[in-house]
Amino acid sequence: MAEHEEEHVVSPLIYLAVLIALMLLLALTLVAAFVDLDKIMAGRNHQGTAYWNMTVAVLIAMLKATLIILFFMHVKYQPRVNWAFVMAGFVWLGILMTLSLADYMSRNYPPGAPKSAPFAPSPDFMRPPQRPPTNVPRASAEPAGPLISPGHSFWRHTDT
Amino acid sequence: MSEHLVTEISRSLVPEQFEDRHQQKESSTLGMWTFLATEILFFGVLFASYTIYRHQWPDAFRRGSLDLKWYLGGLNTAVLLLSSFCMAMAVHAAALGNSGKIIRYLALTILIGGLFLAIKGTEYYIEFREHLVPGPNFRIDPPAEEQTGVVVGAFDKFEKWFHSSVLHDEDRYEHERHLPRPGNEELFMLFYFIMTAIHATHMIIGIGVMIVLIVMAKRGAFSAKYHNPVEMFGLYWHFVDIVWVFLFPALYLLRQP
Amino acid sequence: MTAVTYIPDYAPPETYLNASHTIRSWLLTKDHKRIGILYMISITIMFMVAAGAAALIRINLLSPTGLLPQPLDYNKAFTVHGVLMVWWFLVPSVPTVLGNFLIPLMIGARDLAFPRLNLASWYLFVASAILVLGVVLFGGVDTGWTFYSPYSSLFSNTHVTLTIVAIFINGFSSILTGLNFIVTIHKMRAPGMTWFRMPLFCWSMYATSVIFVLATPVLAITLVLLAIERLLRIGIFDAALGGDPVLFQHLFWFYSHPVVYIQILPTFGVASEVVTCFARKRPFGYAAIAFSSLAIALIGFLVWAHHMFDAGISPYSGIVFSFLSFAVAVPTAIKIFSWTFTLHKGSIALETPMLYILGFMGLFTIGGLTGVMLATLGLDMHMHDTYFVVAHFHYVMVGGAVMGYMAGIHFWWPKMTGKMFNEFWGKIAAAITFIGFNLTFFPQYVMGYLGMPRRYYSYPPEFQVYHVLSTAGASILAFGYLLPLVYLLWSLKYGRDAGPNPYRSMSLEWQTESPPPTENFEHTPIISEPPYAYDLQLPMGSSAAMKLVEA
Repeated sequence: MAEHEEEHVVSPLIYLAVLIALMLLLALTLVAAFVDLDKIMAGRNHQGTAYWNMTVAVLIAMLKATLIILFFMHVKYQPRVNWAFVMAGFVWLGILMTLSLADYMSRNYPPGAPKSAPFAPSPDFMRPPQRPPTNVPRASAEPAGPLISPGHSFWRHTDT
Repeated sequence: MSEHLVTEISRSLVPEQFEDRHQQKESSTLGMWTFLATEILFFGVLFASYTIYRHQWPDAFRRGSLDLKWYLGGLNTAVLLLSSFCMAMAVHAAALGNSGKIIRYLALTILIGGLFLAIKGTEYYIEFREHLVPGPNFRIDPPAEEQTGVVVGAFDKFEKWFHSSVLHDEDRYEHERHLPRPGNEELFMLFYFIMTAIHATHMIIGIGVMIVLIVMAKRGAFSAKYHNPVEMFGLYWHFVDIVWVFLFPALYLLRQP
Repeated sequence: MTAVTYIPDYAPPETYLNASHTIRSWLLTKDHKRIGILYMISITIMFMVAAGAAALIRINLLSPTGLLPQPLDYNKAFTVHGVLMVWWFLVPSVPTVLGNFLIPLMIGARDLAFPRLNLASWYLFVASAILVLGVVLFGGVDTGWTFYSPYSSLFSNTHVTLTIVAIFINGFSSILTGLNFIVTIHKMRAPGMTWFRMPLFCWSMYATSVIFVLATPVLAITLVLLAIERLLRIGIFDAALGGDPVLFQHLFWFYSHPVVYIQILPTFGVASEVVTCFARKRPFGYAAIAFSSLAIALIGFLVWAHHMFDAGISPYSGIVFSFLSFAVAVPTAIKIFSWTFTLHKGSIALETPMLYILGFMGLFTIGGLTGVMLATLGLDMHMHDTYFVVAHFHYVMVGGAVMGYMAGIHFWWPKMTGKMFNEFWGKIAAAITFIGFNLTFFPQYVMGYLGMPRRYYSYPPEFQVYHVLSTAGASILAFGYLLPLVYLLWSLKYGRDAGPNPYRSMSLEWQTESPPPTENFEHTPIISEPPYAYDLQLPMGSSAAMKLVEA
């Protein structure tokens, strides 16, 4: 009397086909990682983050995830409301990533703009690390110590 | 007076709050997907933070990718995809009501999952010997080849062979891997260890649940009509696989300048 | 479908309360109604502890130089107050008590979709409560409820990690509750109970559950990362490694802004139920109220960085978040308009629940409007971290959420216990609460605007008059909260029997006995009427929302 659908039993051949497709995509990912795509796309030696490589890697991963979700997780054979639940998590993650990155990518932009919190440290940040202080601030019962200063870390050690 | 007619035969086995097996199955599936949505956000925060920091420190994070063993990560990806296939076969066996097959496929999935963890453990050991673990272990200068030991040496030989015979960029590889590490690579390594450790924890929990499912299958708890625990766990296991499918390229494969 | 009739001369019918009397039957119950009662007791205890911390705050602020022995104690007081109130009172209040109790009754189900998971939620809640009370007993935590790094991760000497673990467990309790509600509302509605015949309380609970499920995991992982940084003394927020403490704030507020919508949306649902029942009218704009709940849930996720305007985010993203924060006020305003127009030309009965809801509507509007003021980027630069913010969120959370919770408790008290409380004392308590609340928090707006910072142990003497007014109001408010405790408990023994539907509500939960039997309805109801059919003007005690459907 209700909307009972037949329990759809997926053929193992489909699983096998999906597995082979996933392995092929894995191989493709590896090949793409070793080819400098930005050089090909931009045509010259480039500076900065390899955006094309990242995009391709993420797209292939999304394709693999889609295959797993549709077939191994049976979502292809399920009602629309389940699809909405699947998408919701990814959409919300997208919201988190987009709006957070919007902050970080717009800091100190354009040059000469009002300064946001300095993220890029001063050049001498990369100097060789120093010995940590011998008395650990937190082991004592005293109230909280001074604010952190650049270059201080509990584990900073020398090269020996 | 009309009553809500129930056509389910084995009604006594359906939990009280449900009308029939169908409602129970639909509810369980929706519930499991809701839980997986929470897991997407749980792992997603790590991916979002990683993306932000990769944007901020591209060189340090690239060096981090170079220092990881991409072939072990790739092998692990293949292993996990295979385990997903076995899990799908286990769910298929459950749908057909074949308890023996369920047990066999679940056992296979456990073994393959264990293989993943073993390879992961090997990677952790290599990173430890190469002084890449954040904290007191981390060193700015990569260790000399003699200091790292037999295991690491073997993998180094393989990588050198790969770069010379396949990629033909042995000179650049040798030059880059002996440079001192950027200070922020420790941050990358922190992400690597946290993300893979949380992923591995999920796998260990999954293996534990699979053992319970095997015991339940042995006791005849599953039939063609009712096998929700196997199917719902299958969703969880596939999800853990999907997380790794994204983790692998994000951590290991962003090697280009 | 049967009409339910109550025949007083019979032996008392079996209800969920007297179905069994052993402690074991309560502690191992799968009955959503019993679990709702268990939650009610738990959160009342936590409320009292958190209110005690509030008392310490207000007492300290009586003098400009502070009355507590050390500034550290004051930091601990406001941290404990915030942490307990947010996670152990406000977030659970309406969802776990009223949501658990009412959702199956309102949709005609026998129980939630996953009753054992529901019980597990309660046990997780209790475990987390014991843990955090232990923290409070053994020295407290002083980071502020916001746990900003690097203070919380690298410098605080208090029990931060234990508190984090407690909040983590509490978070899981919330997630499981939200999961349960979502699946229940999707899959367990009675025949004929379509989405648009559901009570608006269920729509609000659905939107709340979506936020529970999507926001809380972000808090969980952020706290894990914070705990890692604290325990290992190395972490992703550590500036020495190239980390950014502001990232912690991004991740924290991604959860903590939606959490304020978790706190208020359920009370919006209560308001819809109370306003329609006590104005004897259909809601003005059922679809508007239903969809605006979903809109608040969605847009609420887009506004989090308005808590960080001066933390160092880029001004461009500040502009974006400011605009989005204005946008989230729109669906909220739609609700207020809808309730107001529902009241218009209604036949209004000023019973206790209605008094609380009228107070709620006024106070929440004030709080909401000051929220829009704070969302204005330029104004926020001056008012951030002042008492203006404190007053704003107390207006929406105490004047809004707590009053809405009280309204709900009073409204459904006859349904939950089968007893009527003393109406006179109920009205007195509502009035005292309203007066005490305004006296406590309105001066805080003024002094915040004049520059009094928040979380300060001592302050310049010109603010003392406001602080004294505020503390005086707090004492009155405390009395207003203690009074219901007295007369509600008194009613359990001496109150008159309520009958199934003392307020003549048209909603489904009132069409079964008070208290309901364990299985909720004798027969599965079949719904064929639109909701809130108040214009049919039926006599008292009849259950006309459900018609007899001939086979």
